[in-house]
Order: sequence, then C-alpha cells, then structure tokens
Amino acid sequence: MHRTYELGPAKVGIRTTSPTFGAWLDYALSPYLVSEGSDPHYSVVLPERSEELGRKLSILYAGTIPLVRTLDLATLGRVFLDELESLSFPHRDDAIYVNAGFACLGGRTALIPARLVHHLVRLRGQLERAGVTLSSTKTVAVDPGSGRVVPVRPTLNVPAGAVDRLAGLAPVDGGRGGLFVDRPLDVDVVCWLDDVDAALLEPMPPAAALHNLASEVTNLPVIGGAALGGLAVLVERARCYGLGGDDARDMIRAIAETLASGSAPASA
Amino acid sequence: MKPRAREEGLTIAHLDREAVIYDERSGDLHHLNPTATLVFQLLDGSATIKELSADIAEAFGLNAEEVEGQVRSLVRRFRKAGLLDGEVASKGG
Repeated sequence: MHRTYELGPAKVGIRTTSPTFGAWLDYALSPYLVSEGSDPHYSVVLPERSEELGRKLSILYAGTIPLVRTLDLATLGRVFLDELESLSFPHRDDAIYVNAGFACLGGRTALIPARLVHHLVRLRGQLERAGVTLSSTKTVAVDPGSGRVVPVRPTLNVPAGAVDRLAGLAPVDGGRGGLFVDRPLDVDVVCWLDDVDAALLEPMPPAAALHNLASEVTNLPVIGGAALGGLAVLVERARCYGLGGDDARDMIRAIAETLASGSAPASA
Repeated sequence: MKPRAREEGLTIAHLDREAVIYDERSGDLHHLNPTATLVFQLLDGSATIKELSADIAEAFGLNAEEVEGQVRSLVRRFRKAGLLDGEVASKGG
C-alpha cells in the first residue's frame, strides 16, 4: 500500500508491504494524509505473516538506503518518526541540526558522519557484540549554548502512544533496540572522514573538525553564526580524529578502541 | 592598497591558532590554518601588504620577501572569497 503525507513544505510518499504497518500509519499520521500521490520516499518492509513480526527483520528504507533493520517494532517506529521529524530541521532555529550519528561504548560517546552510520547499519549486530551501540538517527541536535547533543523537540502531531502501539504488535525480548537521544549527551570524541589515503585514525585539529561539522549543518542559513559557537564548544571539549581508508569495519574498530582507551589507540 | 578584513556578516571561531569563518552573505564556510588566521587578524586597513609582511618577518625572524609572497597569496585568496571590505566573492573561488 502507498500513502502520501504533507509534512510542512514536503509531500512524502510512503510505501509498505504490510497492511499492519499501513493501518498503523493511518492511525499515527492521519492529520497529514493527502489524497494526491507522491513517489515513495520511504519504504517499510515487514514480514508477510503477522506471526513473523519480531522474529524476522523489519526494514525501513529511505530510497534504496536501509536506515534501520530490526526485530523491534518500537525501534522501527521511532526511527521512522524521527526521520519524518528531520524533514523540518532545515527550517528550524531551536538547535543546530548536524548530519551525524554517534557510537557509544563504556559511557563515552563519539560523533561520527551520517554517511558512516549508513554503512554500519548492516554491521549493527557485530558492533553490539563488541560493546558498541550505534545510533539509529542520522541527524543530531546540538544545543547552541552548551554544545551538548540534546533530544529533538518533537513538532509532529502524532498520538502519544503511537510507538508503543506499534511495539505491541510484536513484543520483543532482548530485541536490538536502537540508540536514541533521550537526555543531553556530552561528546567525548569527534571522528570525521578524511582522505582514503590518510591513516586509519589521526588527530584532527579542532578547527578542521569544526569546519567539517559546520559543513554538515542542515539549518546553517537559518541559525547562522550561532552554529559555529555551539559546535566550537563541542569540539573544544572533545578529542578530534580524522578517519582514513575505506573500510567501515576498520573505522568502527578504531573508534571503539579510542572510546575504550580514552585516547587514540597505538595501532591506529 | 591597505586591505581590511570584513567584519560585517562574518562569524569567526578561533581554535588553537586556527579559525573557522561563516560568511552569512554567501553562506560559505572557510577553514584558516594558523598562518592564514594570523594574516587575516592583521588586515585592519592600517598597513600595506609590504608593511604588514615586514612586521611579520621581523616578529618571527623570517625572510621578508618570502613572507610577502605568502601574504600576497593569502590576501588574493581572501579577496576571491569575499572576506575583505569592499570585495564580492568570485564565482567558483
């Protein structure tokens, strides 16, 4: 089934293979439903049989890019709603919205490029066995004053229990929940992509890290110079590294070692 | 000519002797290394490139001609990027 929703200035087409998810869409996003069609921007693939929900993977795609593959419908629903919320980011001035995700290990947090998060979605299981939790979002909100990563202020009019209602279709024991920002987070490490020819992990001057982060701010024209100030606070408190090479597994290993050790690993 | 760095419409963050500049007029971001940051800070419209270069060479014990070459090159880049007073950013630059 296919639905089109008008979310602010954007018309968003959503296709799903699942009548169950379709019914949830009708419940969660009814205020935004429009009759005119739009090419599918998101595709949501759930197991065909209801008894397979929670046992086989459900996948959310943006175009052809898998954003999340999970057994846990709560994770799927939250990532999906976060994605729709992110459509408003370029027009907002309540935070600095940066195309980035994050990885956590041992209570430390590394900010990483959104592109790397996309590459790592398929490796989420391996990452979690290594103790690394990877964010399910590809845009983070940074508070301009404190430089901390903060929860996104929701603006979509979605019923309060919408995610719980979806999760209730297939409760998962020990499902691989995604990582979301539910409280302000300090960023310990900033890792950004460097040249393919560069070393796997090398210290990056904070100004270079700031330039890289600022280049990924989706609402820079709206928030202007305040973005530089907030991101400068963030990088001043963090250790900043450039990631070289082209192997996402090597990169995440280097990030994990950096987070685990509290400094750059000697082998990198 | 005594070049002067633009003040209006620029947000500058200084970190470890380097700088990042956001130009609200063009929407461009610039990353300045320590040398470029120093020169940009000194472009206050009070000195010619030759005078400025001589001051830097004397302060750091460097060859004045080499310094002048670097300063001219940087000022050209600042001008092309529209970061100097009375200048407009060049397309593609």
